[in-house]
Amino acid sequence: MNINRMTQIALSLVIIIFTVTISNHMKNSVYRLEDELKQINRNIETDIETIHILNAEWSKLNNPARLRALVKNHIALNPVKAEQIINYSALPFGYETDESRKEIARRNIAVYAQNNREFKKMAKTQR
Amino acid sequence: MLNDFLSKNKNANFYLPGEEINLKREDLFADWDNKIDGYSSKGRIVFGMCCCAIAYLLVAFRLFGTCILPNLHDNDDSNVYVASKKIHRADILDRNGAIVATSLPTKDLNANAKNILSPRETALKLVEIFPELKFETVYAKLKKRKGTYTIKRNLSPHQQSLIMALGNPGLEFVANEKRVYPHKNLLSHVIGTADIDNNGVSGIEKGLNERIVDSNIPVRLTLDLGVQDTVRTILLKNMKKYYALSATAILLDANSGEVVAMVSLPDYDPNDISTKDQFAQFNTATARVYEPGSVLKVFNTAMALDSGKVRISEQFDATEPLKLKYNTIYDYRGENRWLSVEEVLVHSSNIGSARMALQSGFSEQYNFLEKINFFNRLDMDLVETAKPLVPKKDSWQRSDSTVATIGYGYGISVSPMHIISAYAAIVNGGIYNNPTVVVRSINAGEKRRIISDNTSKQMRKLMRAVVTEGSGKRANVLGYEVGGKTGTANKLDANGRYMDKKVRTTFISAFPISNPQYALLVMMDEPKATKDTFGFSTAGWNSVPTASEIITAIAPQLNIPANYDLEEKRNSKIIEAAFGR
Repeated sequence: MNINRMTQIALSLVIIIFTVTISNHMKNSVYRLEDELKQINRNIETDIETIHILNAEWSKLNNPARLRALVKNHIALNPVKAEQIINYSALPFGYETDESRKEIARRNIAVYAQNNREFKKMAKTQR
Repeated sequence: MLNDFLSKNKNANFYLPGEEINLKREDLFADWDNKIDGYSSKGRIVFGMCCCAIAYLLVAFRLFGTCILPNLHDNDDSNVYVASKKIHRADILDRNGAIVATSLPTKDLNANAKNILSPRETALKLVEIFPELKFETVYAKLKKRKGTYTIKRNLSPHQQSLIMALGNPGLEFVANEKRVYPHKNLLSHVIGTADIDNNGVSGIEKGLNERIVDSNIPVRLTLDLGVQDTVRTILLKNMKKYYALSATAILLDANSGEVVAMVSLPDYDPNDISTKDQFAQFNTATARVYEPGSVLKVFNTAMALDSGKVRISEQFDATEPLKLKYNTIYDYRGENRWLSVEEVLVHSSNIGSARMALQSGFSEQYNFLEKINFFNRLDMDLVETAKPLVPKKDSWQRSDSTVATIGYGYGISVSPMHIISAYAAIVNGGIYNNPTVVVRSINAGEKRRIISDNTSKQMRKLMRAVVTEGSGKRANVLGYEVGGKTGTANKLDANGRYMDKKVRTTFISAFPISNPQYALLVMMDEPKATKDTFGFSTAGWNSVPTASEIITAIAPQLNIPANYDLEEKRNSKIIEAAFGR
């Protein structure tokens, strides 16, 4: 009975020490995790701020006047003129299986070619 | 109690190991005196055990509640990250989402004079870092040894690191933010500016100040950066070419009332809040009212046709000046014959328009101008809107000459935005949309019918005729069927008399006129007659070619398919040859 009681006491002591250790360990790990969370939140905030600044910078770099100057200096392109945009029907329809549609396409091309010839003539006479 | 229990067991009989199993329950508690200990002590133990059990149960419940059950408290310190509102003013975006105004986090440098070590040396070093500061003023502040002073606002990161290197405990950084406009002059009159304390001072920044401060969600403008830049570049070039004092261009989506481009020149850089150029800060597109002149003949004609009091086939006598009670109305380069409604517009006949207005009468005119919002300040999100100058109702009603002069665009002053939004309504089928610079939800804007669809159709035909045959010839951009009306109005001098050579020229147009998508207004203030214009300073020689240039450049940008016609091209070549040399 005596030994039994001693075992009981020892056992409860062990359990108490075990519980205390575990809970202490848990507490510490929670602290560590909280620190980590704070760090992550701080990082998120800095990242948001950086993205904000980069967005502003991107907008500044996309300033139309700046882009125009760059295009003028580095690319041989001009703004699109109305004459450069043509209708879908004016495209050569070599892949069209339907005979009638091919005919339409050819006729359109002929008209456009004729127009172009006239423009060139007009341009010449103007010069 | 435990001691008692243990001591009792000491007096107990000795048993061999395992022997106690055979003992009876009564024998075990043989020396237990019920009368002394009784159920009372037993009960106390049970009670204690129960208390412990309840405590443990409570802990278990609480643990279950906190760990397993979802968190029900909203304002609990949750571990999920929520972005705190660090930036105080929301961004402003253009139509396509490009940033046109934003706030950047910066640091201000404060000096806590109490903690400053050796003020003289510190002041010297500060002046070295910021050459624009004066040594005397900085030193005088630091010397006082009390109070906090702002030395410099919005430091650059490099300057920050230099200050850090000084290691002076009296120098402190304070978080601040700076409003930045990456596109500088481009949208200055639309966005406006904010002051050092980040309060809106003008434009959208003031008009929507509460919305911008309250919410992090960016404000989206209806303006298109690319189109705005094209319009501004061309307008600036032409303003210089014709030596105009100021110039305005507004491009409006004809069907929704959204402003796609709005330029008022001269303009200013909103980043530099120290500029005090009042003239440049004045928004001529919405805040200035002026007598528009002949462009009002469009509204006069639409009113007359829609009222049914004038038929499209009717003719008006313009053989001689129209004599009224107090004044006589003349034509500028008059035709001196009877003119049809179309010819009145094409030749911009004052006499014809005045007759048309008189035939329709006061009430029709008044109601129509009220319908197209010519009597009220425009309800836009900009703060700089002007109230039109309109004659008093009773004197207007009594005087035929007021009715007649308003018919051809004098005697009433409105802003360019009033004119172009009303013009868009005339050509788009007769629906008036309140103009806006901020994207609004569908159907949010005010919409109302002002003329019938049929009248609108007739007006489109007349507008086209003005460009193909009348004063707007030079705006006949190939492929884009421009329809419009010119207007040249003399300016008033300080005494209220019309000045001879000083005019404001306006051109309102819509394209493509068969199905109008955009309406454009170009207005120039005091353009000069030059050698290129053969000494003319009327709208046809400055505003119209500018509008033509703008439409040529922006129509492909706005993705409008060109309706290309050879005959038109040939005709225009001849016109160009006639005008160009």
